[in-house]
Amino acid sequence: MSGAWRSAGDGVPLSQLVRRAVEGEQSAWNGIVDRFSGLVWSVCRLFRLGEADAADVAQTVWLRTVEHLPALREADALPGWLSTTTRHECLRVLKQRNRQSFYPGDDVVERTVDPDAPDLDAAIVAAERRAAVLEALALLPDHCRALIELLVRDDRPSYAEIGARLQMPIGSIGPTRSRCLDKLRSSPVLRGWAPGSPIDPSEY
Amino acid sequence: MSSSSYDHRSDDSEPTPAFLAEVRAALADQDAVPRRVVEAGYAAFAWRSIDAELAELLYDSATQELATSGSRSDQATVRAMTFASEQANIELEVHDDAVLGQIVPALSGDVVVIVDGEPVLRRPVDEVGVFRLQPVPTGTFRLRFEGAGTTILTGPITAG
Repeated sequence: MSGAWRSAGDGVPLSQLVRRAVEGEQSAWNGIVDRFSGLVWSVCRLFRLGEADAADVAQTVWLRTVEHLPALREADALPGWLSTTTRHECLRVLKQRNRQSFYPGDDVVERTVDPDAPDLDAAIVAAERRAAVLEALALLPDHCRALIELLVRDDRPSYAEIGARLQMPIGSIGPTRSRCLDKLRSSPVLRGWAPGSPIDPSEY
Repeated sequence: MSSSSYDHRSDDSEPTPAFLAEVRAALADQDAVPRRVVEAGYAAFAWRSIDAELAELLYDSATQELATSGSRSDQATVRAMTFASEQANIELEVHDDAVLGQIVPALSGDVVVIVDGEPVLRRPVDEVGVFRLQPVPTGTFRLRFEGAGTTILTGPITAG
């Protein structure tokens, strides 16, 4: 599915999406959901929630976000707020589940997690950092985003294929790639994150 | 932007494998989200104008959990749940053939069953706040009370 993701929020800074959503624009809201669903979902998964529970948590988080959005002073605070709110909702679900003697569902085997584990904190920070990478990616020019998404795929297409797909001379793919990656790394969105911050060790 | 980055013209050069791995992991995060979960997130925007108050689960006999002081000693054979909001509590009893509920204190209005953000059933609340949902909604749903100038939305419920 990599490379197939297109969002109404592509290219639009978060502050603008938030302002437009507060003003009532559904497509701006969708852009926010597109951009941060990955963060909400991966935090749920870190708490080992099953898919049904994670879906419930995600919806509750978005409902709370709709409520909270007008009071949000700084759009930049939204990712951290989402991560904290998701964590809180996950803990609530786990608390309920763990006290339940019988739960008729497939989540029962996945319900144990130590919410105080230091690894969990680090993993949540890593998830927030990946969300910042996604946000930075969303703000790149279209051709850069498309190129990077193609290049990082496990089944990365050949340069000839990439050139054909993006209507780009093969000779310019390498230099464009470098330029786009530079843009991505120097994105203002990633400024708060030290380069080479630890990434989720479980992923690699 | 540093000019040195322009030097990496070889197809095989991987100047920043760790960073690329992180970009790949970030895209994988995004791809992992089921489409219906994203769409439920879009649908949450509909609550914006309604300004619904979220009612939190206070008690569920299935978990024997009572979050606040007080006690319920009766060992009911039906599942009982309480959702609390500032305006009113929503009490539920899950029977085999129906869910019986009560808005406490009684408010006049309707109760709507919401599945995946969409209303699927609407039932009136009587003068003492009682409502009946028949048959028992399957899967996970939320209840929304609308009336008396207020809207109250419960957390997710799985009754079946």
